[in-house]
Parts: sequence; C-alpha cells; structure tokens
Amino acid sequence: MNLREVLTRITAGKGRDGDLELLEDLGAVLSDGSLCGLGQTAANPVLSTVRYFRDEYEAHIRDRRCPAGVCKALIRYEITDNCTGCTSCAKVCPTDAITGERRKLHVIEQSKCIQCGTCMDVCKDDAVVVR
Amino acid sequence: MSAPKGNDMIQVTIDGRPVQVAPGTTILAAAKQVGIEIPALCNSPLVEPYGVCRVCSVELAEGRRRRIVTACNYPLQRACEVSTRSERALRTRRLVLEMMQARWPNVKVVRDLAREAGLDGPRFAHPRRNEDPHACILCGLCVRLCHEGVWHNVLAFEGRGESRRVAMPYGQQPATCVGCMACASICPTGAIRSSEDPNHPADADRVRRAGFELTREVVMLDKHQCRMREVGTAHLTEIMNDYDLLPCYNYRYGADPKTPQITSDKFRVVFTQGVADGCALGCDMACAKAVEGHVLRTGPDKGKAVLVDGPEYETVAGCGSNVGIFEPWAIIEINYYCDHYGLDTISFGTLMAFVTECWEAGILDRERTGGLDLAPGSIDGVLEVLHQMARGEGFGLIAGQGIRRMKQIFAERFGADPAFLQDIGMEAKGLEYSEYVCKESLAQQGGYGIALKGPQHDEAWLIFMDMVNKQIPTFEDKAEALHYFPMWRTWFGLNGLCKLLWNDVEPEDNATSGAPAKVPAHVRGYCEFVAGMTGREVKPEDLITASERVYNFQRIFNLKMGFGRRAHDAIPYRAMGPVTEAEYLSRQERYDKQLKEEVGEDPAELTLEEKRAALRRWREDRYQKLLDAVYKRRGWTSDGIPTLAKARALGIDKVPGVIELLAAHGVTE
Repeated sequence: MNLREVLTRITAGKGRDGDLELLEDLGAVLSDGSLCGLGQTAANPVLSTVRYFRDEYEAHIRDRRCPAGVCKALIRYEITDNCTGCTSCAKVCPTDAITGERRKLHVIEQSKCIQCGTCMDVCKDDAVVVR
Repeated sequence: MSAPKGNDMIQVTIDGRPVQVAPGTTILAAAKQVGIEIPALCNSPLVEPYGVCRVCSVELAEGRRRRIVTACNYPLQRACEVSTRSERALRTRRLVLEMMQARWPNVKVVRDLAREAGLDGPRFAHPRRNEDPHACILCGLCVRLCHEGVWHNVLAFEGRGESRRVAMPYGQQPATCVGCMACASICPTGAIRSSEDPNHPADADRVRRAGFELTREVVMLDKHQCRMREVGTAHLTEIMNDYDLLPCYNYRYGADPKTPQITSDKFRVVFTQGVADGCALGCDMACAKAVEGHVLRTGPDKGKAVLVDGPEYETVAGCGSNVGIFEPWAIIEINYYCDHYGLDTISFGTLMAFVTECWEAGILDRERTGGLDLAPGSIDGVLEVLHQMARGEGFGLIAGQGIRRMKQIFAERFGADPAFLQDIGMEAKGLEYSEYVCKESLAQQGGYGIALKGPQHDEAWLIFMDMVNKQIPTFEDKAEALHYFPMWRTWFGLNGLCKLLWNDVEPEDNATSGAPAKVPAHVRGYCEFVAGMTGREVKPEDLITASERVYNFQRIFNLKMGFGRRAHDAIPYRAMGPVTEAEYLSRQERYDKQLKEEVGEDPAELTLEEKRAALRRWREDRYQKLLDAVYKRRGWTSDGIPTLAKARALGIDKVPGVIELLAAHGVTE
C-alpha cells in the first residue's frame, strides 16, 4: 500500500528525495518480514525495477522526466512541422485540445490535453511527438 | 525443573553469545537467558506466541541460509546464529515500527519502541491514521487471552488487511461475556474499557487488578501445578493414594494396588469439556469437567447415552476406591444417577462403604439386603441400592437413611455390635465423612470433627500441613490452625466465592512467603478485592473477624438445634486409628513405631490386642486434648460453647435470645 503510494507519487512527478531508499526499504522488509507468500513476493516487481532501471527512477524524481515517455504527468504531446494539416488528430481528440486550420500546422493546447496519445496514434505523418 | 541432558541441548549463538537451550525453545526465551531483551508487542507469557506484530524480528543464520524470523514464535531446533541487532534485523524492526507509527502516532508503546529504534517520524502517511493515544494496535493479546486463557471466545478479529479489527459477535456483548475484563487488563494501549458495571464497585480497576492477578496465575501456573483446567480435581486421586490418604474399603486403608485404574489419566481421556462451563461462568480455573456419551448400563435410563457432570476427586474416591470399585465406567454411572436422583456422591459413597464393610463383617447377607450382593467392589449391588433408594424400596429404604440410622437399624434388627458399628460408621453429627483418610493427622481429625455442619473438609484441610510438612507440631499450633483455617474458609462462604482459587493455584514465590499454607499473597489479593468493591480498606485480620462473628453465631445456632456441644464433636474411631486387626497389621510398622516413640510402650512385649488397645487409648486421649486446645483458642468453654465474653466481643450477644440460650447451657458471666 505504501509502495503503491510512493510509486504513484513518483510517476506523478511528485517524487521526493529519499523515495528511492524508502521503496527499497519497504520492499526488502516486506519480503523479509511477511508471514505469507504473497507478502514475501509482492515487492519483487518494484525491487527488480529499482535494481535494473535505477536511472529512470532518478530521472523521475530529480529531473521530473519520464525517459520512457509513459508517465502522463511528466510528458507533453507536441505537433512538429511534419504536420500536413490533415485534421485527423483534431477530429479524434476527446477533449478538443487540438486546434488548427486544414492544411496548416495544428497546435495542442496543453491545459486541455489529457495525454491520451490518440492523436499520436492517428497521425499518418509522425508529426505528434512526446517530449 | 531439571535441565535436560547435555546431548539433548542445542547450542545457539545470540549476538555472539553462546546459549544452551532445549530444542523447541523460542529465540525470545533463549535470548532472555543471556540477558538480551528483544522488543515485542504481541507477546505475553499468558498466551501462546502469535508472531503478528513482527517487532521481534531477528536475523537467523543456519548454515549458509540467512533470513528474518520472529523471535517470539521461532522454535530453535538446531545449532544456529541469531543476530538481534544486525543491519537487516534492525531495518526490519525499524520499518515495522515506522508503519505502526504512521498508523498510531500517539500510542505510547509504539512511540516508545519507535524512539528506541531511533525513528523520528514516519516517512509516509497511513490512510487509517488514528490519533487516539488508546487506539487498538491489533496485537491480538485480548483475543488470544479470551480464547486460550478465559476460554470464552468472546473476542475475535474481523475483517482483513487494513480493515482488520477486534470485535464481538454481531458487534454486541454476548451473554457468555461476564465482563471479566481480562482483555482490558492485558491490553497494552488501554483500548478496551467497560461501558458499565452493574455491581457498582467503589473502585472497579482495583477489583479487576486483584482479579487479573488470579487470572494470570491460573493461566500461567495451573498447567505446572494442579492441572485443574485439564482434569479438574481428579488429579487428587493419585496424589492421595501416594500419601496413603485415599479412602479405600471404608477408610480402612489409604492406598490400594488397583488405584492406577481410576487415576486422572483414565478420566482425562473421557472428559470432553475443556471449556469454561456451568460451574461459574467466567472462572478461569474451570475445573468442572464432564463425560459425554456415557451409555448407561443400569437403571431407568439404561441404554441411553448421557452427559455426566464430573466425576470429581471425591466422587472417584467415595463411589470408587472407598466401596472397592476400580472401574471408571461404574464410577461415572454412579455419578450420573446420583445427580439424576438428587443425591450427593460423597454421602452415597461413604454410606455404601459402610454397607460393604458390614457385608464383609457378616452383619449383612443376601437375606438382609433383599438378595443383593453388597460385598466391596460389587458394582451391580451398589448401583441397585442407588436405584432402590430413588424408588423407595428394598434395602435402599434402609441405606437411604444414612449411616447414623443404619447403625441403629443394624444393631436392633440384625443384632450387630453397636460398638463396632460406631467405630466403623464414618459419620459425625449425622453427616457422612468426605473422602480423606485422616487417621494419621490429628489436626484433620479436629478439622472434620469440629466442623459445624459435620465432617466435611470444607472448613479445614490440614493433612499436608500436619502430616507431610509437619508445620503444626504442638496442640497449640494445631489449635491455631483450627482457628485460622475454618474462619478463613468461612469467609469464602460469606462472599459466595470458591476456595479453589485461593490455594489450588499458588503464586510462584509462595513457598518463600513465610506462611505458604495461608497463601499470603492471595489473602492480600482478597483484601484488595473487598476494598475495591466496598471502598473500605480492610486488613487480613478483618476478614477473619468477619468470619468469626458468623462462625460463632452458627455454633450457637447448632446449640439451639441440639448439636453444638463437645459431645457432638465426637468422631468414630476409624477416623482416629486402626479399628480392626487387619488395619493395624497393614501399617504395623507405623503403629509400632508410634507406640514405642510416642506412647512409651514396647510393642515387642505386647500382644496385637494390647497394642491396638494402647494405641487407641493414646489416640483418643490426644483427640480430647486437641478439643481442649481448640476450644480455648476459639474462646469457647470446655463444653465447646462460645463464652459470653466471646459473644460480646463479636457483638452476637445483641441477637435476641442468644444470652438466654447460652445461660440455659450454663454459660454465664
């Protein structure tokens, strides 16, 4: 439960100094001190990701950055010059965050964007990127 | 406790210190042996280890394997190394405490342990954070004590994960909860409180503290002492047989080779009710046992499977060895029918013991018993008399009148020798004796003989003090004991309390208390109980005075009813010494030694007849001297009547008619 809370905090870009150590602490003690097999193994995914992707955790906490481009709170979608103004993205955007005239460069209004990634999926010109 | 042999012990190392322990010892206990304290929240000597708080986590290295285990419930089985302060152990303990701290930040035990572990505050928030300093920390001590100690199962955990909590069934206090508050007493946080106390004690906490001390002793010590929770009073059978005190064949002998057939292990296997039951709900000792599914072989309920309440020691002795019956099923059957017919198993056992001896002596035969064989050990005969008593027919009509009347009837109708009947008929004041052989304990002869309602040991049980531990050698010592103990035991009657908790479980240090027979710590506990209930401070002497007032009044009441004089304290010779030749011969060495060392006769120069007569004269004389000493100590006349001064001192003289009654018996200024 605490593990989840800390993980959620980190993916939301609200990670704090010491969170990584706390995760390791919680995970190790959960494995060591639990009575049941569930408890003993529950922390394994967290522990192994900390072990193998420590730099990514650090990027989240220190740089508020998600190198894999997965944590929605840490990424923004942008439209590059590749945009041909086909309007596909604006049509599918569930929050009407994309504006732009036909055949002209479209723009994502970040305050409305919910990082669902649908625009990226439908763009035929690879004009939507994650930053 | 003897230490197991060296090769049975295992060698473990705790924080680098070697310890030898018996296999199965927990790490926590082993650490204690070398003075290493491992913190624990859910552990108590009153209950089995549970391992739920995880605070006692330590690191265990066995061979190449290293792991974290809980010290409280990890049984050591082979050589290993334990670290209570390794980094891994400390990390575990710290985090466990940190999680508790996050949930229960203000609970003192949690705070103290967290501080000890060097924690500032939790690094995370808890969704069920509870600021209450008396919050429940789910250690389960109350649940386990209620289940294992009090045997009531009133409390249990409900819910899982973070919803887990301690609860009563359907959230209500069930009828089986007597409010003993053992749960509250063991709770480390003060989370359990009583909502109301219908008895309105002046100081409920004081009453409970006194009560909980008894609970603690019963739960922790009974299993090492009398095992009352396991077998009830039945454990006494083997002890009495070992000390030559178990009445066999109408109190002729104190032991029998067949006793092993009726010892507690024979009954333990048929006892089915290891529960707190109907004797007194809430009593932790729970000595009342029962046999379920006994299929009756005789009587109106023949063939039925029944539940039998008991048997207790005195039923086993009275309806077993004393009548020469050494069959557990027969004792259980007699027990059942005595209960069924509303008869007392002690009176029935003792009067049938008398009947069987009369049969053996030729006073009774088939013609006189209506065709029944009533030789000692005749199960069919004894059971049939029992049924006849209930139906009011046959020999049962005679036996049912008790020993005092039977003595008359046998002398008048069957021409038996009244003196012999008087010697072997174990009754006084018309009541049958309870089941202890008191021949060798003068103090107990007095305990039985002077008892107000007849010879039951309810007033005084002094055999061990007198005979085994030799704590009361002189007449004055015995008289003092026959003052103190009857008064003290009367106090239980006055308060509606059971005596078993007074001295059938004893504090660990009772032997060094100065007066172990009085169990001083328990007497002080009862004073606490009285003070807590009434709000009045009392000293042990005050309890005795309260009893003395009632006891003397009862003696005077006996006098009014025609039973309160010296003549009524007479006892049959069977209670004092060997009546028959066979009895003398069975313990010849003991009696000869006494003749030589104490009576001053040389047994070598006397015939058996003369030896018996000499021993009898001496023993009967000692009983009279004992009466003198006891009456004097109690403030009674030599006729056994309270003096006017005594009545005045106790305030009994103010009861209408008392002064006149005493005067009518020659007791004046």
